[in-house]
Amino acid sequence: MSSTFFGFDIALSGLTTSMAQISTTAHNISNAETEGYTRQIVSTRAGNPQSVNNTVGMIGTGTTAIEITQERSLYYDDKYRKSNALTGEYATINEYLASIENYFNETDENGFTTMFDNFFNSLSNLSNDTSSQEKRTAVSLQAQSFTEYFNNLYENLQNVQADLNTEIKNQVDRINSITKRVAALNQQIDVIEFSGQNANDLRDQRAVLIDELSSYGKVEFSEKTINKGKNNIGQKSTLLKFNGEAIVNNFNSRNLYCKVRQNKDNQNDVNGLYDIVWEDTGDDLNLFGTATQGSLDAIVKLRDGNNLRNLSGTASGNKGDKEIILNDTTINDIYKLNAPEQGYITIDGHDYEYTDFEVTEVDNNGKKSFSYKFYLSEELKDDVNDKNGAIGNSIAFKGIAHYMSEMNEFLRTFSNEFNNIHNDGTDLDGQQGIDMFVYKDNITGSKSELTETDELTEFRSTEASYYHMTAGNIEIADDIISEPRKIVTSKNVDNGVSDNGKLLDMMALKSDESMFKQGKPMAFLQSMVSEIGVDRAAYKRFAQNQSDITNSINTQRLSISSVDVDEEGMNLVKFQKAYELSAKAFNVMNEIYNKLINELGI
Amino acid sequence: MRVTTKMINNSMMNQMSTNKNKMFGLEEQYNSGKKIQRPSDDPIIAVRSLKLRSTISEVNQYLENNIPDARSWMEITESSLKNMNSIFTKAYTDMEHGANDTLTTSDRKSILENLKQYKEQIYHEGNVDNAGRYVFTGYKTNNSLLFDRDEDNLDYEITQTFGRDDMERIQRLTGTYNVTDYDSDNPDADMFKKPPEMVADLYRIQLGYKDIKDGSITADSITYTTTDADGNKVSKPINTLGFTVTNIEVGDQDIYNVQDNEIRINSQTGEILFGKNVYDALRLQEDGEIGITYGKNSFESGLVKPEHYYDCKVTNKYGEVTDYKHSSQDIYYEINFGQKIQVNVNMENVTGNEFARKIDDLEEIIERVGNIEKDIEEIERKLKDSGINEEQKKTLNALKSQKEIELSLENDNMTETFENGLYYIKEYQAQINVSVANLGSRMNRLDLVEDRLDSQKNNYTELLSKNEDADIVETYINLSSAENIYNASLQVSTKIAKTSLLDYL
Repeated sequence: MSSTFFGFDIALSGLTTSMAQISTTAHNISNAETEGYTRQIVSTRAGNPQSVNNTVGMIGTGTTAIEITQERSLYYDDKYRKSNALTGEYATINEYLASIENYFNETDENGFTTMFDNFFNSLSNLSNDTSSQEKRTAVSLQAQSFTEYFNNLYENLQNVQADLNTEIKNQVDRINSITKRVAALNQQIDVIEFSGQNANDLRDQRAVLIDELSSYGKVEFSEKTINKGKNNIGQKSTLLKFNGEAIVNNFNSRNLYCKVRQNKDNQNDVNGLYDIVWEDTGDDLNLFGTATQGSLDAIVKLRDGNNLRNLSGTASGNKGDKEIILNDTTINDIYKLNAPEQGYITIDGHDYEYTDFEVTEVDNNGKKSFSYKFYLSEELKDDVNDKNGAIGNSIAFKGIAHYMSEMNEFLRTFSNEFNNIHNDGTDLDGQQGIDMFVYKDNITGSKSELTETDELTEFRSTEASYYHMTAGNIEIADDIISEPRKIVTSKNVDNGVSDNGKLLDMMALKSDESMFKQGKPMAFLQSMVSEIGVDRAAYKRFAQNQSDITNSINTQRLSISSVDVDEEGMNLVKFQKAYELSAKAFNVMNEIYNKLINELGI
Repeated sequence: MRVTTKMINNSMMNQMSTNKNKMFGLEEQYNSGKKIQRPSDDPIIAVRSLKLRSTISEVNQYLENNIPDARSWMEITESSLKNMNSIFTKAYTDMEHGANDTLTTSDRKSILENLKQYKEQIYHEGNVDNAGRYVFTGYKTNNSLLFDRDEDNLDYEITQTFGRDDMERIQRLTGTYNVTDYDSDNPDADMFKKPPEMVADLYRIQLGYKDIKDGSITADSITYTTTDADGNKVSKPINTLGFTVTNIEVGDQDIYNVQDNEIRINSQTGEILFGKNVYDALRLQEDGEIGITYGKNSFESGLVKPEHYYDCKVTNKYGEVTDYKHSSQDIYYEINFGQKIQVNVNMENVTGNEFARKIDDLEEIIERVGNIEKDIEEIERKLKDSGINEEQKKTLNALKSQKEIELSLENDNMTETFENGLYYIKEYQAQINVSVANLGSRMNRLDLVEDRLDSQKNNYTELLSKNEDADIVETYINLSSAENIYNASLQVSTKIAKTSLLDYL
């Protein structure tokens, strides 16, 4: 037999449930525009029926709100984060390639191709009147504009590299702050859920943070219930991985930090580039692998990408030696060599610091190649014979390092060819020709005379050679700037001032198809422009496509989890009506008991 | 699928941003007039543009600088060559007059004056410049063809090479008499019995200059070069062949009486005289070369500078030495991709220094003839003297008749010299004609190249425009259609975003 006032209980349960539903709806509506908010739903269940002692049978006991849950799809979360890592990668690459491309923007008629043309036109003008001082001055000025343009370009690219480096620091700081908060949230969620409640809003916050983290790198998040506890919610164990390595394990986060490189990886790098390492183990963060994506990966690639053109080869050296010899190397051309003057050579995971190196050419059955001897500042810890030795990373991406080394290759090759002709003649005063294209020494700041052709294959990093010439330090010899009479036009000026034989040879360099594998010098420059153009166009498309994909995944995710105001409006009306009816039921009961108690008085 | 307000909002924002991007791109095209703004917009178009622009820049360089420069040089050369040719024609008339007609003293004088004038004009034409650069002097465009003033401060050591055909046979008299040989106190007709006669077998090489440095030619400075059986050139001093070399002192008598084995040097006239045996020996080898090195340190204004014709070493007054090696000095201008054209004509291919020397020869012979005539006049004056006795008369008549023989011989000589001059003028004119024809064909080539470049320039410019210029009409249509789409999307978006269920509750 049920209680006399059983009806009140039923009405009351209706009132409290509706109240909870109205509150949740209000919560949903007020968070409709909150980033990462997942709509919540009150799950209700009819109360356990009671049997009454009559023929009617079981009677309902009203309703119960069991729990408030989130409408979240973990499948779409995972899918979104995977896609977002790629979106972050492509968007970053696209953004920075755009700024590199701006510096290579040859479409505006003021680029290096124009400078190059102008320089050759000035030579052509001079060849028509080799004794003219104005035309000589024009050649010297055009040559200066040509080299200055490259100096500028080099500096701009270095600035981009420095910006990228700063961006790495910013991103690492941001990642550290995210992981710290994720760890803290893990703990809060655990406390709440251990007591049998759903920590819906905290989970939302955590999901938003992990979403953000997923743009920096490839993220995997897993959650396992280890203790069911009350209401089957209980205690969870969580693991967050970043680029395949654990970054937050339950309540503990691991910090990354930016270690300043003591030596350069590439000859043209700006000073103070960062390596990203784990604070606890000191190991490098996993980057440029097939398993890594995201904007951090992209930025490091943009900064260090050398299109697989780093120096590596087979090492030889015994324990205790202070020298390493590298043979069968990837680079056998002084024009392409971009290993730093001092740096680290990595063998078997150990970085040996070298202070100086020497190059000789070896002839192996007609196949000529370079042999490098590195002078170390410490002794070898082990025999390194037949092991692979490498300087810097080999990164299959055309980043800043790549474009710098392309420019260097162009300028070194061209300067050498030009200087060789210029040296093989006499100036207007009958003096032997000097090098026209020289470089400013990084340390002494003075302009260096270059070496003879045969020293292209035998040189030492401490001595002057074309190896030291970069787009950043190439200049025109002071003597030629101050005294354009020094420009050589003929083999021997005693034959007469209008002998333009050497000048015609120089002009012929412009159409020398054999100078580069790309063909003429101009073809090399054009291919550089086309390279950046094609790359940027591709990444622009990738970025767009990937962002569309991520958007559509997000749309699917939102389809499940986002708040629809119409729906919530309808719910509001529905639950209000339910509340009103429950109240009505209360009234009815009230009237019934009034009748029963007051009017049926005996 | 469940569609929520947020999804609709996101999608609207995405679409709007896509539309705006499209409009932005079209707006850039419309404003810049270019299809692409940066290489990545279309790398193929970008690189093609670079190539075309580079080509156009080069074509412009050829069309606007190199070809006009070449043409102006060639035109000046051509007009100068034509002038020389017409002056030679005038000189030819005068020479012909001298060769064929009997000439009075004043005739000869005026012919000589004319020829000297012509000579000056011809070499002066060779001295023309193009904007300050001498056009006929090879690479030495800053060095005039002629000495423009008397020059005593430069010490030249000139080396000339001659072939066997450069040895010419000349006719010179020996056994001539002077009026001073007549002694009125001891008249003796027998003294003038032997008539003057031509030296048989006299050969000479005429150096580029007269009045060379006395004694600057020694036995060592004349070399004879032949090719041996192995094809090597062998060079040895001429005296090792058994010939003697002698220098004539000023005032020597009978300078043309050269011994058979003798080589005589007349530095005053700049002649090397060869005896019969020397000549015969040197004639033998077809490719034998006679090299003669001599010094000269004073030049009159108007003489050609030796460095334009010969190897020479010049020492200036500060002791600085310049070594000129004579070589072909063709100046090339680049007038098209990989195409060069020779713009200059070397003076040595127009008129040698020899023409001036032929005029020297004429001057010399005319002077000789004049002197003989004067001598005869003086003898005649003496004959008319009232106090003259028989013996004196007889002696003077004997002298007069010898002088008349001399006169008639030298008159023949003079005619021959004129004829010789005619021959040389014809040679020079033929040479000039070849040069003019050669130059003309080069100028034709220049015109052809220019025409071709002109049409290439048009082609490339058109290609460039087609490649990178935006079609304004098309861009405008695209822009307005993008604008329409954008407006439509805005309209729809606002309509959808504005309403919700709440409006109806």
